[in-house]
Amino acid sequence: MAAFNTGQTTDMTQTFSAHFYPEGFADSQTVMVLLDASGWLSFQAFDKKYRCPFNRVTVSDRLGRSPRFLTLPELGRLETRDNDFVDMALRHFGHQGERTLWLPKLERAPLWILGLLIVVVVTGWATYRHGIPAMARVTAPLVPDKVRELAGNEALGWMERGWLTPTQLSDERQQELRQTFDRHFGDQLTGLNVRVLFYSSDAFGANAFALPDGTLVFTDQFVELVNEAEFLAVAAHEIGHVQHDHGIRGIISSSALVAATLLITGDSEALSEIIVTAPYALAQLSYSRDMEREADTAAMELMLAAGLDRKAFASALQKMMDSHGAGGDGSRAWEEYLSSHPATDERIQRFE
Amino acid sequence: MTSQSLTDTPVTSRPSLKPIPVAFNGRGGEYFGIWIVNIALTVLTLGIYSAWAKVRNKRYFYGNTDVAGASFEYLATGGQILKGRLIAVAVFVAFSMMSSFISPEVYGLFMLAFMAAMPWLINAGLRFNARYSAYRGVRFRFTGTYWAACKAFFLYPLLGMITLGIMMPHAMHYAARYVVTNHAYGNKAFKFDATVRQYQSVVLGLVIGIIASIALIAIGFSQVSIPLMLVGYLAIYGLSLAFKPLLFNVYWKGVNLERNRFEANMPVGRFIWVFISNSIVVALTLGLAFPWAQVRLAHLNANSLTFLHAGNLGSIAASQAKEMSAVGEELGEVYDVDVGFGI
Repeated sequence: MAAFNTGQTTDMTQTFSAHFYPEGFADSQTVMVLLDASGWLSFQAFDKKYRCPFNRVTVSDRLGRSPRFLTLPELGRLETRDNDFVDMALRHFGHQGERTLWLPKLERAPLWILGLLIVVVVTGWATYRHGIPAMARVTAPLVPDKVRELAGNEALGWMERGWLTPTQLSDERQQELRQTFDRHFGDQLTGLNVRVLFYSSDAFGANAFALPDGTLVFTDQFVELVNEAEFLAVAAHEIGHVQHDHGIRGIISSSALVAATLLITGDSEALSEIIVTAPYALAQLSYSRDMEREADTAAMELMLAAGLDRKAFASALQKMMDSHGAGGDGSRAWEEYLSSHPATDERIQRFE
Repeated sequence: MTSQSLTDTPVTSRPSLKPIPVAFNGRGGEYFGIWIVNIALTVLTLGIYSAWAKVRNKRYFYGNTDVAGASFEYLATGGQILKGRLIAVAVFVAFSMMSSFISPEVYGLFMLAFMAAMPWLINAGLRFNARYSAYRGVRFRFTGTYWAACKAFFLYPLLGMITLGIMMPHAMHYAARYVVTNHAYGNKAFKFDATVRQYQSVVLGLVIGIIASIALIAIGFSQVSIPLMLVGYLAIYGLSLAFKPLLFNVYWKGVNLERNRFEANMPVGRFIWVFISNSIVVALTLGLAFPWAQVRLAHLNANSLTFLHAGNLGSIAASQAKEMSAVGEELGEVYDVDVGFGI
């Protein structure tokens, strides 16, 4: 509305419109406030004259087009939408509220917004791609073994309740597999708390997995599907997960991801109002794929050290894929984003 | 625009209530700028600015909510919120470090103590939020007690579950009444006159709808009709979303203060549309449309409410009770239970 002539200091009495709320009551009256050149606010409300020096007034920061609140000590509050006028008055009288004027300016400058958007997207991507996995790699060794044990037991108990049933393999067969396992990898497992378990599972089919505490689980269906070399190849991959502490790193990175987004958006309530869980799930799957690749690399090294042919891993993957009924050409690029493992064809190629 | 009248309307006649629409004046584009600056500064200060960011976000939604010509004010400072968050982080770190040293029994004891502190934390959050919210220069207050919060948020919902949902409408009604009637604006307490029956009819309607949908799915299953099953699943999803607007309407119609009330009319279909389209757009833009989605929801909330002014707001005085700074008040903010009071 009204505005100071910039730079001029002589005789610049100006007015702006506001709502006045007297101290102590939820009463309201629309008033025209006069700000004179000597820096006094004055207006008339409820049949009374009010006067207050502008530099004693507390002014709320500008925030978009939302109204500003001026607190007049002992008198009450003024609410006005005349943001430009208030800003100019702050500048003109060197009011302490002038200090915060840069922030709202930033919030309204398209170029700054664009620049900061790029900063946010780049740092966000870097944190998600590199920062969080690196942080997980550094902090995982600090986690006491007791936590691994708890997490491993918890995971196994959970699967035993739902998907795993006791193994149907004979004791001799289990013994034989464990001995083969020890013969090839025994001397590379020092410091790792690895144990091998067998379970039957219709839900998982031919499958193997590593738990945070170093437990390796192989399903009967898997053992019956593969030959000895293939069993050892997949075992090497699972040992890779244990070597790199993937269980704990996965837990750390997914909780760090949630914590970081909560901190940044700072609004847990709004998060629950709008479904934003889909991007999360996708992000966590990408961490999982990175760890699978790392375990594949570890498997190659282990097999090399144990004098095994790494092609066995490729044929094991092929057999597992066939047994799960996946079409040979089913690994299109976009499917990778929805998968916890990299495309099988890509993995097979690495080992051929 | 004066809205004070010192002479109260006679009690004998029906008080004449003047309907005034509640307005939300925020804009998605404008809020985007504020939001992105908040995030950038939070990232650049390694998270410390998030406390001030929270204040700015909250002030944006308060300041743009207009009831009878006046907006809401959020008065908490970033410093207060940072203090609460630092305490919470310290407690969390101490807690998780301890977990590896102490026996499971002692750890369980700590967990129990934390659970016992929950009602207190919820109250602290509500108290903090109310105390730093103002309208027409007069602050809100929250005065709930530990035991009542226990009943409202834990015991009654538990009872509702034990009785397989039969007591659930009672529990929901109790929780809503607890929150509303323990709030005060200045020296006047809010009242709540929604009935258990209203909550029962909302719940009953949804249960019937869900049973019908399940029947539809079963029929679709037996006739191997995929479209029929799909309709059943979509109906269940829609019904679960319908819960919020139906409760919103019952809740706000029940809130009153010195004969001032609200008319609430959130259209169920509109809410479901806004919710689903918001979710899709936010997911497709990897979160960048979040400010736009929030503003859109705020518009819907405000447009669904009409303030019925009894003309006596001006006579409400600010509370004279000198409030003591409660220990851990800032901590309550961390837990952030916004029960949807003050929109």
